[in-house]
Amino acid sequence: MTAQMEERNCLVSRAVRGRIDESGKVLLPIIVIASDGLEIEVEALINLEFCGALVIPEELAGSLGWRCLGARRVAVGVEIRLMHHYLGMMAIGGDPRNVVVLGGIKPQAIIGQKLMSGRKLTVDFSLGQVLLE
Amino acid sequence: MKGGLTAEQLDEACWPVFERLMSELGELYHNWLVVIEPESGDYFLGQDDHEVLARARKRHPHGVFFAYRLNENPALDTL
Repeated sequence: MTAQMEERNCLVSRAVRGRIDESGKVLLPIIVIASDGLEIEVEALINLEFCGALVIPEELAGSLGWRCLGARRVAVGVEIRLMHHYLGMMAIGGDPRNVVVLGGIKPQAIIGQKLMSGRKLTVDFSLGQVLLE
Repeated sequence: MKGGLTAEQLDEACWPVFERLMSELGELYHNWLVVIEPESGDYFLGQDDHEVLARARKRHPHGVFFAYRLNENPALDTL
């Protein structure tokens, strides 16, 4: 196998397909991995205003056995909320990695800029397709 | 969390350290992240939350930390 083919296969394996829901939200599937190795697929909203990695509902974060490292202040709209931060294992195509995960107040998981760094995000509203490569 | 502290109590315990750091380092490290361990008052500065929390954890393996942005608006993230 040539180096180019190997590189292409690697890139293909990292690709993740998402969807645009009926309200126009751009969603991607991610895998969160509990401390006992259990893998759970969660559909996460892409929020490019969020500079961090991942927010998942606090209840889910607490149930995964992740280490809670404390908390931080987060601006949610015009309000300031306190959110717990965890060190959690997750994957979004490719190998699992440790990221800082916030315990959110809403039921929707959110992924931010940090998880898309160095990757290419294509959102085609005409075809309703979402691809992260 | 450790010691049964709520997020609010942790914020309250770390806030005086943050205020001191803002007056001492706020200009030089404007917009950097600061992670504070409340019992020792130790603080860790950096620009990436994963890296700074990892450093804080290395020093205090069982600790809990409150994170701020060294700024007039200390919220670390925007959603």
